[in-house]
Amino acid sequence: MSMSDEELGTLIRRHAVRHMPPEGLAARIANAVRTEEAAAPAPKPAPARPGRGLWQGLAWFGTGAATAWGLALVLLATPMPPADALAEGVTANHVRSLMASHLADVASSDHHTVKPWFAGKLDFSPPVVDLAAEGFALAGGRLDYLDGRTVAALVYRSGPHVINLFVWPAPDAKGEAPVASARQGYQLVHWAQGGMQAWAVSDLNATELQNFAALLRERTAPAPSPK
Amino acid sequence: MSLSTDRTRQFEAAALPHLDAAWNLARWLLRDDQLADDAVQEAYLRAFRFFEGLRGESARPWLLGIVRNACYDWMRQNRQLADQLEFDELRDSEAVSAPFSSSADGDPARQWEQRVQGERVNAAIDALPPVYREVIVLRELEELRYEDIARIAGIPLGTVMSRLSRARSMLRESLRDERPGDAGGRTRHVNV
Repeated sequence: MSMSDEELGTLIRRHAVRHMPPEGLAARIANAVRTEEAAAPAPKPAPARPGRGLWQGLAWFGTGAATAWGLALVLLATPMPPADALAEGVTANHVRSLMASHLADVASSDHHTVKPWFAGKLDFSPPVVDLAAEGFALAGGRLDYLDGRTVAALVYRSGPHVINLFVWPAPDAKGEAPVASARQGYQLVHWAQGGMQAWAVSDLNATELQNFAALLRERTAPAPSPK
Repeated sequence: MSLSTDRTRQFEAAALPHLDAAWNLARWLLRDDQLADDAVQEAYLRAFRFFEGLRGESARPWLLGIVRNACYDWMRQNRQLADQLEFDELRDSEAVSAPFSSSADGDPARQWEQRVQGERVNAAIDALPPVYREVIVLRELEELRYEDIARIAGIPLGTVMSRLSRARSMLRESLRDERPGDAGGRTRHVNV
């Protein structure tokens, strides 16, 4: 004589432990996921993993193919606007500069040191100003890559916050008022002035970053600017 | 705000509701709180990376499948270490059984009987090899459909049925003298 499946099931449900997750695990997971998102913003569809049953493999393949197809449709239907692609690149460069602890190739708060450093490395001369008195201290500069070309990256600090300012020649000479946006929790402002285009990115709040942009525009304004 | 923040929010909404099930599976497979913690976190990160793979499928089996794989990865890498953990089991199952006893009726003899029964059932499931343990946990504790279990374990439906059947006969074997005191009992499993 032995128990039926039902009896055994009842016995298990009555007596076996259903382990409960520790408090705070959900919060830790949410945190890890956000960190992951900030570090690796470009998701890839799931690749099929070897060593599974054929059934599972086929399922994965199907999902992967469907995802690729969907992605292709989306990409074909909505080409990324240039500003969006740039914002993506600017944010990625900013994150990378913070992660690799490779903020500056020339670390100096003196714009007389930083500006000449770019000479010979770029085919343009980026305007370099120090805004320490206004709370945005110049920390240095480095070369970076954006929009298919080498650009100047100027690093500013405001308290614990880092601002990356990317500067390179604008395609046309006409100026462009500052445009603010946000991406992955970072604030961005871009504008064009004096034949140069500029993108500032930081974890500063939007108002402060716009203030930073306004100060820079004022100080690097061409022609009849009161020195 | 930005797309990426939407992605994290969507992921959390889809995946976090299944944390209890994920934990229960990982804890039964790895038999250790810290290991289960690591495995579940790792699995959620993997799931997040492949979140795009989830389209119109039920998140629960998908996620539990990833949790299961994370646990098996660990077991494969640490086979020896896992064996050393076994002696902790008795203590663990006693600890978690305790709340159940206190909620049973006041008869000390009956309480004792319940407690012994709980320990025996937990120990019997624990003693099953992982591939049998997981089908019992998924079927009897998580009450998942056979199709979902097949998906989670990456095996055909027929194999789910045969493993369940084998797992049940192994359990019957080790619980041979244990007859359920009241087959019609309405009490559900312990939900500490």
